[in-house]
Amino acid sequence: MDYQQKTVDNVLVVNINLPEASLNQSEDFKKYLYDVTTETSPKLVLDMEQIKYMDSSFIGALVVGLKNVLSKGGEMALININADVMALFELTRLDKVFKIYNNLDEAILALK
Amino acid sequence: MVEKSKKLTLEIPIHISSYKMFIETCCDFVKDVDALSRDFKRLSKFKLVIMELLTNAMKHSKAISFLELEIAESKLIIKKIDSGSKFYFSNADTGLPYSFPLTGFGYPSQIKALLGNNYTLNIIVKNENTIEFLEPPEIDYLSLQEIPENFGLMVIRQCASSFHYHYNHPLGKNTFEVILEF
Repeated sequence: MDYQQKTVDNVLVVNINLPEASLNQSEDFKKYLYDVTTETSPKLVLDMEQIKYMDSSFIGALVVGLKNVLSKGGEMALININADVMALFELTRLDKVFKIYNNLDEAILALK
Repeated sequence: MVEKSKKLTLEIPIHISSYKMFIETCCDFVKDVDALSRDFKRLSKFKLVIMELLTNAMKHSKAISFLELEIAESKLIIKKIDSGSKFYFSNADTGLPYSFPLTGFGYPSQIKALLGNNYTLNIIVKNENTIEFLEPPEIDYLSLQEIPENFGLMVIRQCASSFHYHYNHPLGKNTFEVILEF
């Protein structure tokens, strides 16, 4: 399964099990994010530990997902981003837009 | 004594199932370029350039493309070449669409090119077949709505020392050229 989900303290935690997150997965991922955030004020943490490579298409999908979550009054956080992927967030200045935490505990605490 | 080749050419199929092989092959090619391989930030940017050119090939070229890497003195030249769809853009201020070969410009001219929803880059039109992408100014997004959902060319430009697109009109060939200077 590309995406595994669990609930922790009313926060939906999604493990993205993709070593490469790119154009090939970005449309499916957009749809997945829409499908799991249908409720009012969704709270979502995306665990990106498995992602070794990410391209701009996938980060675009994350932006679409964030817009959707915030439009519903929800919150979204990202955790466990590796250095190569973090470079992409910094270059696109999206490190200032997304809530990024080192681990799940920090993210849950912030979103609770 | 065998001199190691300073040029690498990889064929990019219309659909790529995995980027890993391309990235690893390119990293292996530059492993003896210490200024790149031993500098983590530069190497990260190099990998991002490769990924974005591969994504660009799959998303826009609609044809077999070629990725060329050439090690030159104090720089690395990376080209993505194809005979597929031409690059196009609009003028963000006037809304006028442009395709190659360009007409209606003095040379050089600088304009803000609209590349997608909320997605602009300043470019210099160098001649009817060549444009240079300029480094974007630092942006703090003031609202969520103004954040673009496409970033590919911007990412490449941010990683590069220079970034050009050239259209070979007689041959119908597109070349994106990225230079990383050390």
